Formats: sequence, structure tokens, C-alpha cells
Amino acid sequence: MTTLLVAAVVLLALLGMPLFAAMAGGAMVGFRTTETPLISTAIEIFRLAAQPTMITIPLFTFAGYLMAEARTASRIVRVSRALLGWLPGGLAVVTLAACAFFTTFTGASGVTIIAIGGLLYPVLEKEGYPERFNLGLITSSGSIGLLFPPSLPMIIYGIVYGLSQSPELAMAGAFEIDKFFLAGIAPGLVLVGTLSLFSVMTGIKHNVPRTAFAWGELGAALWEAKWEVPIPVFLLVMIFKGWITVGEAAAVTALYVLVVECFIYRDLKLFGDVPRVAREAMILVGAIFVIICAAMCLTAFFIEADVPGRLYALLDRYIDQRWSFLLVLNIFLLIVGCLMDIFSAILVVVPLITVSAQHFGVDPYHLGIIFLVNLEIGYLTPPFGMNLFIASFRFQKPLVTLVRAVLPFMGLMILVLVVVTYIPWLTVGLLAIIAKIFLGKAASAAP
Amino acid sequence: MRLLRRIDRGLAKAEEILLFAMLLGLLVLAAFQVIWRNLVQPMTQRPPLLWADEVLKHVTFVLGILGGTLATHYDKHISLDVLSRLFAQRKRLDLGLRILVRSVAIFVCVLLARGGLQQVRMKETAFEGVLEPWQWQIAIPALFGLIIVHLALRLVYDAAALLGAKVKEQPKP
Repeated sequence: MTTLLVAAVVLLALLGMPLFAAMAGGAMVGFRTTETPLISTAIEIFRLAAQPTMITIPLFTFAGYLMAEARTASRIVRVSRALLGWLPGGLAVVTLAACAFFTTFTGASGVTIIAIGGLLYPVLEKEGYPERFNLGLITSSGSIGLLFPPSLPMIIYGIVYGLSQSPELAMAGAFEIDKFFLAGIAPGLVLVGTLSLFSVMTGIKHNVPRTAFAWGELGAALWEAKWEVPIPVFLLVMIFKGWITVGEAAAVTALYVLVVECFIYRDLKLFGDVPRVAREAMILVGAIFVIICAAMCLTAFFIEADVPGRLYALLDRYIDQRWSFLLVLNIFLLIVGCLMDIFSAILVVVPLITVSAQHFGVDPYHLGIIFLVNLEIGYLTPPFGMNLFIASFRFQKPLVTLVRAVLPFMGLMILVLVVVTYIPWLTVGLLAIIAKIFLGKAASAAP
Repeated sequence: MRLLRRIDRGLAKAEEILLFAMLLGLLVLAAFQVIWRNLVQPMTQRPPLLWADEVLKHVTFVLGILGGTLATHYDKHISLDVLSRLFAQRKRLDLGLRILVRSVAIFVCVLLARGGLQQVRMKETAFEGVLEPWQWQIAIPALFGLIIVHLALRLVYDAAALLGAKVKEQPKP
């Protein structure tokens, strides 16, 4: 009976039932088997009200949406162009840099492809880049900034990891989101750098004209965007100097962006535009939040029924090396990434794999970065990668054309995934070094 | 149907106004706390508002689920739709499947709201705080109740469309 109910819930989820309902339904079926009372669902959901980091979700999302609605995209593109446009393939590198900056705030919700892609696609075409390259570049750039702070998927990963820690893991120390922010920087730069190199090579191959570097234009562009460009740097410094917490940083950022866009740039009207932007942002927040509520229930059932422990026991029968565990994990996450959006994937899968990852000696921060890189690739993976659909809709191109266009980018991203997976130093080693610089003392990467 | 549409729109409007007010309140209060803690407190030795942290956490919680009710109104919930995409062209089958998944989603939300109600009835109290925990917990049955209303309205529209009635497209946010 239980198997039948679980199969029905999975089928309904595949048929388009809101994921929160599917997950909560799954949890209830599970609780039925363990004879857990219904009240447990509410108790688990209410645990979220005690999480101080939850406030970052609405506030950073609001800030991201404000920037997406204002003319931030044009200003960021102008700065990137003045800074990098002289390179061979400069405009393509500009696209990558601008998308990376933008995605850190919009959380790869498709806004980047619409805002920056829409702005740069015609310019790329005019400058002589091949159409297939342009489509592939913009589609894959739509999720490229996920490893840079303060990206929403990083925050959600941190919250979920913290909540799904087993008692023995929790004893070892809490998972800190600010450290996770640092851990993403080096792998994120490797990813952007690799795709930039490919863009440079494409620029050379197709003899795309370059724009001359001009100090005057760079100064003017920086001056125009002076209120926005430094935001991520200020955030990082303030958090790691210990001046403010991540939650406080979200409040400061949201208020700052609101003031800058409404009263300094005057791109948005406080009463005309801001309520509409707030509504759109809160709809996304709400959609994520109810999934988190459901995930809390599902995770509680997983822990109660020792599902992660059993999964580890199963894996342990066939896998005895860390490298093979990571290989299986990557393949699994790539499949998950092309079937689910990033938020649902984090909420469903993280609680399942923490125990196994711990047993195979994978550092929690390293695991998080592997997770996010996989899901970035999942956004491009046919047949269900979300960026493919958004780009297909935005540029009115058939899905098959887009699939062909993203293949070289996917290949490179998988290469970076291998590097990030099998060179943990890139995440953990550099994290320890950067943390030491920021915090002024030796900091252990592991929690 | 027109009356239902009016109720639907009115409800969504009220939720939007409440959401906006809560978001602004959250923003102002959180920013005030940061500024006070980092700039005013070191000079005056006076701590920031003691009740504010509790309020911020709980308002975020309510704001999040309230956003969920609005996501239901605009049909913006995250879903997998791996199979439903295959049937999107077959209008009647698509509507039938939507009715099915909405019905099950309503059932799940009823159970969530019931669980929430049971929790409220326990009247959990705390030693300090602006509100008792059970008063904040009312948000769970109340807001999942609102999600049920939105889902039920969508279900009625789908059923009407399946029976051949002309139903307006869902408004975009």
C-alpha cells in the first residue's frame, strides 16, 4: 500500500502537481508508515521560524529583482565592455562577466537570460559572432554566477544542510553560510575563466573586431555604475570582517538597492514600480518557501526512517572509494539537475546525501560546490534543462538549435566539474587561505 | 463565475497589499537593527530593540508562506511538469490532469492545515516574546487555508473549461 502511495505521489509530481504538495504528500505517506501524528508536519514547518538566515531569502531576492527591473544590466554591461572589450572575443567575455554578476543576485531564475541576454544577443550578432555560439553562450551564462556570493541557491543549500545534519555531524560544528560563500569563489572563477578562454578562442577564430581600450570610457562607465558595482565586494568584506551577519547584510543590501534605484538613479518609482517588483519577487520567494516547508517534513521523515543511513549502507556495498562515490554522485546530480529546478533539487537531495558524503570523507563545503556546479550544468541539459526553454522562448529558436548550441559549453562545464570534484583543494584549501586572510587567524575549512 | 473571479482578484489584491507592507516593515526593522547595533550602540551603550529579532524571524516565516498563497493565485508554483508537457497540446486531457493534481494538492494542504490547527490547539507558550508561539503558529493553518481557497478556485475554472465554458486566462504577475 505504501509503495503504491509513493508511486502515485511521484507520478502526480511528474504530471505537474506543485512540488511542495508532492513533497508534503510524500512525507505524509512516510509518516503514515511510522505512525507519526499529523501534528509533526506543523512542528517541522514551524522550525523554520527559528532560523535567523531565512530572512536573507526575501531580502536578497527583492534586491535582485529591483536590480533586474532597473537599468542595472546596461550599466554592468557598459563597465564590463570598457574593462574587457579590448580582448579578442571581448564582448563574449563581457557577456559572461555581466551574467555572472547578475546571477549572484537573481539566483538563476531565468531573469539573467531575459535581462542581459536580451540586451547583448543582438550586439553579439552585429559584431560577427556565429549565431550558434551566441545562443550557447547566453543560454549557459544564465546560471553561471551561482557560485558567487550572495547567490540564493548557496544560501538555501546552507540552510538545508544545516537543518538536515545528523547529530554526529552537528557535533562537529555548524555549517556556516559565510564560509560557503568563500568556498565558491575559486571554483566560480575557474568556471567563468574556462568559458572566457573558449570565448577568446572563438573571437580569434572568427576574427571578430575588437574595441580599443579607453581609460576615459572605463572611468565614465565605472562612475555611472559606482553605486552598484561594489555591492558584492562590500558585502563580502562586511560579512567576513564580522561587522554584520549574513541576515543583516541582506537587510542592508535590500535597503541600499531600493534607495539607489529609486532615489539616485531614479530608474524605478517608489509607488509606481516597487510594489509590482516586490510582488514578483515575493511570488518566487513564496514558491521556494512552501517547498522548504514541505522539505522540512520530508527531511524529518527521512531522518526518522533513517533513509540517508540506508542509502549509505546500499552505496557502501558497491562503492568503497571516495573517487567512485563522487563519480556516482556527479552522474546522479546531473540527472537530477536536468529534471528538477535548482531549489527543489537542493531541498530534496541534500538531506539524502549528507550522511553518505560524510562517511566517504567529503568536506561539506566541497560537497556543496560540487552540488551547485552539477545543477548549473543541469540547467542546460536536454531534454528538460530550464535555460533551454527560457532561451528558446526569448530568442524564438527551436529547442533542438539550442541543444546543439550549448553542447560545447556543457562539455567545458563538465570538464570544470571534474576539476572541482577531484581537486578539493580548489574549494577547501583556498577556503582556508581566504578565511585566514579575512578573519586574520587560521581557520579550519571543515565545520 | 464572475463572482468567483471577483473574490479571487480581491483576495489576491489583499494578499499583495499585506505582502508589500510586511516586506517594507521587515526591511525597515532589519535595517534599523543593523544600524543601531553597529553605529548607535557602540556610542550610547543602549542595545537595539530586544523584541525585533523574534519579530523579524516570525514575520519572515509568515511572509514566505503568504508569498506561497500568491504563487498559487498566479499558478507560479515550482513543479516538474515532465509528463504534463507531453500532453499540453491535448487540451481536454491537460485540463483533466490539472483537475486531478489540484485535487490531490488540496487534500495535502487540508492535512497540512489540520496539522497546524492541532499545533495551535496545544497553545504552546514561552517565557518571553511579543507573541506566544501558538499565536504565531496560527499562520500555518490560516495560510495553508488560503492556499486551499486559491487551489479550489483554480480547480473550478479548470472544471468549467473542461465542460466547455469560456474561462479567462490566468492573469500574469
